[in-house]
Amino acid sequence: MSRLAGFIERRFFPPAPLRALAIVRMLVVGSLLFVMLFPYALFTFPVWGRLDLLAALPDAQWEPIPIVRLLLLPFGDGFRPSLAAMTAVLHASMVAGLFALVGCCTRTALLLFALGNLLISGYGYSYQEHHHIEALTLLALFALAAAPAGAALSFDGWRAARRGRPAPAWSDQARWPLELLQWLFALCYLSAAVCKLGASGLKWLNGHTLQAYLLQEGIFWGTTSGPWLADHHGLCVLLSWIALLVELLFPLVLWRRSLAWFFVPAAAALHLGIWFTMRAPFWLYFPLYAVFLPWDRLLRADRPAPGAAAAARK
Amino acid sequence: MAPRPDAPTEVPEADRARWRGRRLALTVIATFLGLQTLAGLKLLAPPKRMPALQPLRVAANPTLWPFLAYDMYTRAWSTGREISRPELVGIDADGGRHALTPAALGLPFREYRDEWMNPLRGGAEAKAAPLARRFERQGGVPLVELRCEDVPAIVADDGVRDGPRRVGRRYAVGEPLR
Repeated sequence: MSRLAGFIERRFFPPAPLRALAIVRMLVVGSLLFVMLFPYALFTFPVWGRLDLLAALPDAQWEPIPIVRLLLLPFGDGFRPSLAAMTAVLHASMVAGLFALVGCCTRTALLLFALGNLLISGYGYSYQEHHHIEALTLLALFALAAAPAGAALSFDGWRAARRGRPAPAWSDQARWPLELLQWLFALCYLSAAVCKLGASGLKWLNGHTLQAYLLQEGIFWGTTSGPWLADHHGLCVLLSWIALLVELLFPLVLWRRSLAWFFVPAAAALHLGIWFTMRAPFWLYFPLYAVFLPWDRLLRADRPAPGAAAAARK
Repeated sequence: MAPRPDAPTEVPEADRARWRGRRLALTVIATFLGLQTLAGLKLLAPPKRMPALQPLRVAANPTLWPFLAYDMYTRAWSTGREISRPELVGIDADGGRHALTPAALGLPFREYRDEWMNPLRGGAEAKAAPLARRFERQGGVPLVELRCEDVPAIVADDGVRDGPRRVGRRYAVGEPLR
């Protein structure tokens, strides 16, 4: 048990720069705010731009997913919110997002931004269709809300400094959300590989599978690159292997940090390729990849002198 | 006077706050990693082809959303897989064929697909004549007929082959059909 406690302490709670957490906060909140404001700039079926279409669907299609049922339980089991209510949630979430971005009442703003988006996205997935594009971002928002993500580069930090109580530059609470997101990324990519192997075994690597999906999505979205790539079977075999190996081996970044320099660009390249050929929009992953940056080294200058470390924890 | 060893000691507020933060962090970490492991590795959603394990199938996607199994595009396919490739074709008075592509109609692809092609494939006759006029306005020839066709793309070892052309709905536009 003590070995596990020691492992958790080393991995999740070493002193780390609070500015790293703040930068990740701004990246995650800023990117989500952008897609809420300009939903069709990056996405093909963005829930934030389709609330009116969803609200117009018949009641028979309304099948709230468990988290949405739970969030709406005070209004009655199975309650379906109106378009006006969902639009109000959208606008309120945007305001909360702006506060979270500048770091004003950061924890509350992050929590409201996370809850608002949980309800909006969950609402979109309560019509018998779901996607994967923003799940990690939502989890990131909740993790950031539970951490001192507003202690630096924020209005809250500035106000605290003016009152003579500046936050320390490093904290043992600054590392865990970034570490947690690395683990979640690893679990998600591992899930993608395990699901493919579980459903199809090594047959998934036959090249024909990728050809079929490239054609299916390429034709549906009108891309020229998808059908072009599908016409090259050998290339499809190679890309199938690369995709599966990157997903399967991605968790190695948790074992050896330096491997992130290979696996994160490789995963980003996969998502870019998938976008160009199949229009699957995993754009929100890109700002989240910042959790893999070696923040301790990048923000070394913030580090307090050795004698001040203990004082910083007080 | 030295304090008694068993005397209650005052824990500074900063330390209490720090431990509250640590407890919250540990709760979030354990919950998120636990739920993502359950959902991602489908531990509560064994495959349907294993009937004996179906009682364990209590949380298939998206029950635990935003904790998900990333099970997109998991089914394997072989050669011969056919993918529908719909086309709109215009016929002029001399029987000449003209591909009514988004470029030929001056339309973005999504508008072409959602506003014109899919409704026409579904029988929206009222859309046929306006589309033929639009084609003319974009520099095309006058049309007398509009056809919804399909040239399936077939997965093969040497790439992609065209399947047999299938003609679906036909609409008379402008002049009557000859």
